[in-house]
Amino acid sequence: MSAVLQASNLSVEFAAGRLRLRRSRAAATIALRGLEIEIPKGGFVGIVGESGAGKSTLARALSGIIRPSTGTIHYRGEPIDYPRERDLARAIQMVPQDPGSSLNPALSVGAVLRELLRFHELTPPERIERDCGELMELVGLTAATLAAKPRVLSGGQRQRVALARALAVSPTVLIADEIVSALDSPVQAGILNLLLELRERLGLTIVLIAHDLAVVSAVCEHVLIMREGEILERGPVQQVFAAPTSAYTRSLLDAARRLVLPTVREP
Amino acid sequence: MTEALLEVRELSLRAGRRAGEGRVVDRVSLEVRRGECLGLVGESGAGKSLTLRAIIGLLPAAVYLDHGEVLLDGRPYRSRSREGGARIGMVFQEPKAALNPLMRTRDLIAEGLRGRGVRGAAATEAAIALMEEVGIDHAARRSRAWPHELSGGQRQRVAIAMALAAEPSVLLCDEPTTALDVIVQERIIELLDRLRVQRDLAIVFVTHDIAVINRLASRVALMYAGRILEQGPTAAVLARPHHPYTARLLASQPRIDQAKRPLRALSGDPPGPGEWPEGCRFHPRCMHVKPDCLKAPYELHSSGKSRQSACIRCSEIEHELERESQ
Repeated sequence: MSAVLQASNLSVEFAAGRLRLRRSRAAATIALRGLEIEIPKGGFVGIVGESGAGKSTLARALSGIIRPSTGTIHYRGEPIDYPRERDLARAIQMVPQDPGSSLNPALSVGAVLRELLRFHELTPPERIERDCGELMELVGLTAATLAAKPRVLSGGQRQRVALARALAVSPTVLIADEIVSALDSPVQAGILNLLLELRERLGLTIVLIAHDLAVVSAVCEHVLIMREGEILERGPVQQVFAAPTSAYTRSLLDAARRLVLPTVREP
Repeated sequence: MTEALLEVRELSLRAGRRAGEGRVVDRVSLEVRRGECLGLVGESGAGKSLTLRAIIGLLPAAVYLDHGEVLLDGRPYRSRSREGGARIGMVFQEPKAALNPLMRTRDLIAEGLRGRGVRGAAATEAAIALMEEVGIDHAARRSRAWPHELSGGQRQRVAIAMALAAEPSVLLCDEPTTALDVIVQERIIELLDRLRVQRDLAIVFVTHDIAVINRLASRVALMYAGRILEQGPTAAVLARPHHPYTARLLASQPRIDQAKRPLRALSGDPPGPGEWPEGCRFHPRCMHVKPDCLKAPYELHSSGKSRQSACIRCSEIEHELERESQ
């Protein structure tokens, strides 16, 4: 299996702010410490860890939005140059956690998508309207949603719009940063199913950042367990969850398993 | 059967100016006994948090009490009165927002103690004792910390200590573990369960996470579009739902013990206030809907031992429901 994304010796540091408070001797914060990662083409990879583990930084580094302090990221065997070429920026799309703040509240859904399609010149002008409608259908919404402003949409609908926006530029890799964390379970289930379906239909590679192990277990094939900027454990989900090798993974799984629901009795 | 300590009778809230206009919570009745935890489960917009806020008298500016009453120990509860106000405490979802960033931990907790006449050095001592009770290590040192110096879990413990400072007999919890990581969440759940036993607290725990309720609450009420659709003992309700909504909610939960794809989603979104359908509130999304479900607004009725359901077809479709929630 070939790797679509590959990171070697990937480190990200954030310099201490210029504005220092009295007595604070803040050193640089190391968010990622020399990671080696391979994302297989067409794979569905989950990245799990607690707040501050470096999950979102990794998502942003893998999508090329931030430049690593050391190390390189290869996309299809080619090292990423910064700033990224437009083709590369299109190929790896990140869907942020909170569409409420990432969608422009003043623009309708249609205006956002039309602008995007025009800018990237992927669609002849006369086909833009039709493509917008198709994008809506692809994410399980109707063309009527194009007229809506983000404010009137529910959390699940907004997340679908965020996915449509990412898919508008025909990416090969989708990096989803906690996109179901804020949703109620029936809506969450719909979005997770949509991800599975999109991967199938479009041949996408998906990286899903999550703190909920049950979510990862429901959709992912591979999992990386992160803590304090390092990867503690990795492997096929079933294998890692059945026989974790690190004590930390075990404690995460134990905490999650104590919250398991009873199995419903057979009639 | 002991008497209910907290009783909510036919509580209705409205977001409009005139009576009966813009209902957001519709005739909700709840009972909690001493030492008991009641889980109130539902999706965003179901009216769970508003119900809690109405109990303690902290309704948002545009929401009004339309009807109903809150009884504490059999007497009408008035949140503003001095003796009454101290009996119900509340813990919120975001401890960061609930803690005044300009006050040290011990002063935050001491505010609640002042109502009981505990001041000065005695208040600091009592604050440290409360911090120890809620499981904060190095309580004496941390009592001088500012909220921003604490982790998310520690902040939530401080928020719980603040609520306990007034010696409440009822603790209302509004998603206090939702913003926390799984291991921290686990510890906060253990803490609340221990406090329930040690202090004989009556707890109302609002969440959208049924798994948390399964750990903590002996009884559960499911709320949807401003109404309670089902309630009963947690184990019985989760094992054999008596309402299609409960079954669908259970079926949509991702489970760590089984990879199940695709997950069972519910189509569409729950109706917002003002969009509530005639008849059963859940009927537009229900797989078991029959013409009768669209008629009168269905009330909760007894559906088994200490159980209530608002579904008129629940005995007919029980077997279907069980299959569905698997």
